[in-house]
Amino acid sequence: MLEKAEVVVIGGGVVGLSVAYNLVKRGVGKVSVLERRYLGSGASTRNCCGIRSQFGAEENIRLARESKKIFQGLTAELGFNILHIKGGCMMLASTPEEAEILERNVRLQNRLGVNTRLLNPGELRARFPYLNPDKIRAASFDPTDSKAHHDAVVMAYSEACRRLGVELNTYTEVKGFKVEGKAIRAVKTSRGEVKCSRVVNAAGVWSRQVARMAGVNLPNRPLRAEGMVTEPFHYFLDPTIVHLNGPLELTQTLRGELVGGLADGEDFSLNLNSSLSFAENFCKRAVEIFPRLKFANLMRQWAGYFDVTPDGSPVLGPAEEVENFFQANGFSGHGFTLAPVVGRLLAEVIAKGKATPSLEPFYPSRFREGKLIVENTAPVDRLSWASTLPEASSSAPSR
Amino acid sequence: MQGERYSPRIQEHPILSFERGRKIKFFFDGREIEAYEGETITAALYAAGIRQLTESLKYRRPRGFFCAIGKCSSCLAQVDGVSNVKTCVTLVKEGMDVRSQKRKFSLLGSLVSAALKRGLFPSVGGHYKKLVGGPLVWPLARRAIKAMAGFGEFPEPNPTLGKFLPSETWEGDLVVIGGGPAGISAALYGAKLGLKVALVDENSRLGGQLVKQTHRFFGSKEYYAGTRGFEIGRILEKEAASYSNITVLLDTTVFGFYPGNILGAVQKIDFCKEKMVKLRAKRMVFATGAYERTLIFENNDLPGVMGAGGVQTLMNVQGIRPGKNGLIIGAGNVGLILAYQLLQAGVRVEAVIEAMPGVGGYFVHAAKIRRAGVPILTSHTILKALGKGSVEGAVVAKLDDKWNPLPGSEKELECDFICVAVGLHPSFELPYQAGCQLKYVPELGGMVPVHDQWMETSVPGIYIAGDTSGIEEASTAILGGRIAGLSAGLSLVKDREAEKLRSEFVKALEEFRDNPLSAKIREGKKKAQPR
Ligand SMILES: Cc1cc2nc3c(=O)[nH]c(=O)nc-3n(C[C@H](O)[C@H](O)[C@H](O)COP(=O)(O)OP(=O)(O)OC[C@H]3O[C@@H](n4cnc5c(N)ncnc54)[C@H](O)[C@@H]3O)c2cc1C
Ligand SMILES: Cc1cc2nc3c(=O)[nH]c(=O)nc-3n(C[C@H](O)[C@H](O)[C@H](O)COP(=O)(O)OP(=O)(O)OC[C@H]3O[C@@H](n4cnc5c(N)ncnc54)[C@H](O)[C@@H]3O)c2cc1C
Ligand code: FES
Repeated sequence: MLEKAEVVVIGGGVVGLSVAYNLVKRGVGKVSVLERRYLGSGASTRNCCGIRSQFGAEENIRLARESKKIFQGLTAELGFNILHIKGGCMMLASTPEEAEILERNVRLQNRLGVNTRLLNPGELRARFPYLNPDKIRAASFDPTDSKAHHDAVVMAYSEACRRLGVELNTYTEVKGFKVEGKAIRAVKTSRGEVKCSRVVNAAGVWSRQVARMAGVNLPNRPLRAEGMVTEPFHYFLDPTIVHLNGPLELTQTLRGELVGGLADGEDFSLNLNSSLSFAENFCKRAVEIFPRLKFANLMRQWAGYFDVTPDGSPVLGPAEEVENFFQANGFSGHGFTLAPVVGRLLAEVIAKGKATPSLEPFYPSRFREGKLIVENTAPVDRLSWASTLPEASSSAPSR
Repeated sequence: MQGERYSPRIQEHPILSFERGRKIKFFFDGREIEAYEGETITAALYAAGIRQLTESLKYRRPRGFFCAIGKCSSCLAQVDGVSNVKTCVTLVKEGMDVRSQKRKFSLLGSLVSAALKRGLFPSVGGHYKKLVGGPLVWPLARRAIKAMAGFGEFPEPNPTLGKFLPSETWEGDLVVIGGGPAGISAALYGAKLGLKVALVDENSRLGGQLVKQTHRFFGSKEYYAGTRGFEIGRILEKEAASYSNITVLLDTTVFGFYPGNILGAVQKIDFCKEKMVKLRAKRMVFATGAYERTLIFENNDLPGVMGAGGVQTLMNVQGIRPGKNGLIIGAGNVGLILAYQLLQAGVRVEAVIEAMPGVGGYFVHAAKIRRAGVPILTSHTILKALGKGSVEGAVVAKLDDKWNPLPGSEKELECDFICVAVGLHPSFELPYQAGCQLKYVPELGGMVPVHDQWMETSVPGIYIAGDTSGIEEASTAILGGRIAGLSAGLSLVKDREAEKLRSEFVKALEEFRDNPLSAKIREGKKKAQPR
């Protein structure tokens, strides 16, 4: 392991790897990634592979729109097939309130040049005969949304990192920092110390714990989200289907499995054991929307977390308390979509040492300044935002 | 017996009698097939000479059934519009519409399949690295991959099917998973201590492996030696039924262990009619037995290559002959007994092949089949299965002392089915999910949960018994089960008598294993002790 690096990236998930890759590409010098377990062991290989820009805040839509462009050419850029499929994404709403959100968001997205459309009931039935029309009040569809294989994306970035000389340290846990004044001088790990001039916190749902080690307070909260796959069927489902309530997500992989997920509640234990209540709730809810699913068998299930912020939008940029400590977390369930663009923009900020306009609204200082982004598709209201919250346990996940 | 005119359904059997239900008709790929109520779809199709049910995903190789107990997924077919039904554990019904899941012909699909067979992507994950160049490569490849994906169509809407009943919760002191000799014994001895017990098994009757065994069991008289396997099963089954504090849940498969000592299970009531059962208990005994190992040889996936247990299920439970002339791979007890059972059922046995220089099973079993004229070829192995669509023969060869096939010793044997009887592996998934420490102990058959003499694992309150704790036999499974049941009970209630009884059972186990044939087991049990 290096004794000294220009930039240390904490977290070997899709976000950390994307940041590291873009940093070396810009030639910032030695970059070292520190990962507690194996690459992609966090949410990055536990998600449902959806890439979409159907958000409710202008800042997020812009960011996602750029990320979608990068995804288009990512296979060629990284020399590794990420199994990208432009099948579109359909967002569903059941209650009048949810329907209103969709309608409002479509208007906003259209204004920003994203071609989302509300589908009328006839179109819905014709294009998606699998869905239960009685349970759907409104649906919006963006044909330019897509999906890619999450493992492939993690592998693609990590192979590119390796090729460009990034040091990928797995089974290396960050334990603390050496902070002098308003700057981190070194990162303390389970395998020794690394001196560095800048640090990126891309530790996913564990980012809050990591930040606290440097005396930085993040408002992020963990929301448990679990996933499952069925047995493989002949391929029939190109789009990703997302119900706003949850969100609940469903699509099909290129092997033919239906893969789905559901966010189902605050959980500070941060353990990665899958739960029976997810299996039960997901099956019930998914069958309501997708009745024929009752004939499919659930084959495997797993658990992960969303790292949710009070405004459902990511925390990107330098911390106020420690200036060379850059945040790349709080993705609130959208980090897979945003990883490519965030890597690019953050690398730019770190390399140039000055802010980019598209990143500024996401700076951590926004919470103190009260300049929240307000993203209405993120499950923000499902969490308790009271100030007296339990400490997140720092124990390593058991699975 | 060997001379009897061949008919797939066994009419006369020296030991077993098969009660067949009403004669019914169903359809396979549009063809009308006769069957009897109570038969599985696989069995009825097999009796009608149909062996291929589906095909493999990538190379489109024909697939037939292998395990016959719902564990391997090689018998999938579409039934009444529902894809991927395990036909080996689904009972046939009047008018059922069963379809093989062969893929419709598509030029693209066939081309890709052929290209894959030629080694288009020689390395694992090769498609990640090769399909990157040019704007056309991926769109084309993607279409091809989509055309090849998955088994079976996404189910058709079928309003008459798919009743899912509200879930049920059972709460009590002890859940025992697995209703073989070990599990039944654990439930009985837990119940004797007054515990509220649930005994769960995925089959429609208790007995586990015993249900399929027609021979008189070995071991000591106290543990039913001299009685035929299936009869021991019935005795234990009856005893379990006599306890009002044992709830027996049949047709119920436990699919997972979840935090908080909760088990998730599915109870099958009818085709596409299921109920989720949540089981929560203070103590658990895992007695889920074992499953069969397979063997690597060319064409080992050809329909007609089956697990020994699969053949036993077909023949001794369903009453259907697996073929006219079988080849058995493995001369351990299972292989030898199977050879004898085949002869009992009026099926010829071409030979028993054994890689070791000597027979692994008991001498008496070997002598019995040799007397019946079945050759046992030691220091031999199978090189490949022959046949198109299903087994028509096999190539075997002699092995040198370094286990390499001797060139020139290859010889073709005739047979229309092949039984793989190369040993069992403890089933360890549930204890693993529960966080029990596992250890690789070859003497016990592979990965086993570490356990002490009281059959407790590294997780307090979780016990194991029977083949799950090491591949052995029925008598030791019964003793182990009793110890596990008593240990679970004694951790909840105080009982001096029960403590004494448990020590006696531990001693009895030691005595039982105190012979040269059990040296390996003794060694293995030592290794599986917690440190
Ligand atoms: C079920 C589910 C479905 C989802 N579906 C989608 C979707 O369809 N679309 C979408 O865009 N997003 C989706 N997401 C969200 C997305 O997966 C995440 O936002 C994204 O993966 C975040 O990536 P990351 O690299 O920031 O975090 P992670 O992948 O969690 O990486 C963080 C890494 O940091 C490591 N780490 C933690 N602490 C330390 C330490 N002290 N020292 C060293 N390393 C440490 C962890 O081991 C981990 O590997 C979903 C998430 C879940 C759980
Ligand atoms: C051909 C053959 C001949 C044999 N001959 C002899 C002999 O002569 N003498 C002798 O002593 N022994 C003999 N044995 C060995 C003996 O049958 C086994 O050692 C004994 O049956 C093991 O008992 P058990 O209870 O551990 O497992 P099993 O009998 O295998 O029972 C396990 C049960 O658990 C069920 N189960 C598994 N997983 C689940 C789940 N997730 N949910 C619900 N249910 C589940 C299974 O379906 C099964 O019914 C023979 C075995 C074979 C195969
Ligand atoms: S699952 Fe049916 S043969 Fe194995």
